[in-house]
Amino acid sequence: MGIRCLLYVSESCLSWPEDAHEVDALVESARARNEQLGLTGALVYTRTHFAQVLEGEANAIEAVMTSIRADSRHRNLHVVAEDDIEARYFPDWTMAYSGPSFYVDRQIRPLLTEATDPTRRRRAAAGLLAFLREFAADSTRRGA
Amino acid sequence: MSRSEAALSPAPPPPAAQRLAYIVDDDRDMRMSLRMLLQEDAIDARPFLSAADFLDALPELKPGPVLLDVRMPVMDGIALLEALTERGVRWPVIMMTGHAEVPLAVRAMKLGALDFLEKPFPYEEVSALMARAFELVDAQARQGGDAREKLELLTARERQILDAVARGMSNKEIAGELDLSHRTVEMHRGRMMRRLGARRISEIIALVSGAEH
Repeated sequence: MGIRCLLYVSESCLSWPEDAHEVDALVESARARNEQLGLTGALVYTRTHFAQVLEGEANAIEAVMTSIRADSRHRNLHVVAEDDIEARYFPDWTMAYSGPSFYVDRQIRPLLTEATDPTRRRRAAAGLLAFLREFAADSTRRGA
Repeated sequence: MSRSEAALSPAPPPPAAQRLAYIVDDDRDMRMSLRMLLQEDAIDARPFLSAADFLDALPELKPGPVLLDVRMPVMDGIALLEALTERGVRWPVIMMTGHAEVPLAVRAMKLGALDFLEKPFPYEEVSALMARAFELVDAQARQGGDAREKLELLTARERQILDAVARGMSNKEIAGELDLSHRTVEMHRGRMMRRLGARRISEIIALVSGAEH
């Protein structure tokens, strides 16, 4: 059976730094759930937006996406890429980035508006995916 | 103005003269032109021609945004960013580079950089970025102030236990080091957490590191 890869972006409903513990809780429960379902990938939180890539069996991804879509900690969720891949890019599931970086946020923002034209959207989605995969590759290189 | 009014109105913005920023770039022309441009926004930008110069001066510097060139001889921008992270300096750092390749960008973001400016950049971009960088500096200062106020509520014993917890010590280890019973440590620890309104260790660590800035 092939491996499905899904990338989504969304707007955060949490406020920073008041809801910092919510982010901790979210990461803890996501890590446990993804491990159980055999999902790997990475989550990014820029204090205004979320982006997450998930890899695994299509059924497991669908199940997790149902609960993610219903989560009130974010809104305006867009699935921006969904593909079958040959092999996983992520050895596990991690919080790849959590911080105020404008640069990271700029990788996500164009994907949240319908106004962006389809070609640009596809390019932006591929760019964000490459960016997330590099986060994992950087950790592997550094043995972190 | 009455006392209650003073408490309700937002703190006045600091005078323009206090807006301090730093430029670290081996290129003299770049340092000079950035400095002049930032002056237009009433930002006093101190120039440094190397990462080592900046690190030497660091203990005397007030928190402020850093415009940091990636490509410099001896110690480059990424190495300086690493040095700042090691020292727990969380000032907004804006990297300047000819081309922000993905691996470089990822490395810099992981080390806490705020953004990349790809040279040549229009001044409006720097100006907008600096305005947002100063908002972060102000927010960090406020959080630091809040954290320090909270820590002052603790007794000396609770403060001792807080520092040990923040260093990652277990209750048992703390009991051993402070020559207390396990139960006494648990009791002080519980009281300390309640006083700080914290539920998790990660909140304690964030509070302690916030108070240091």
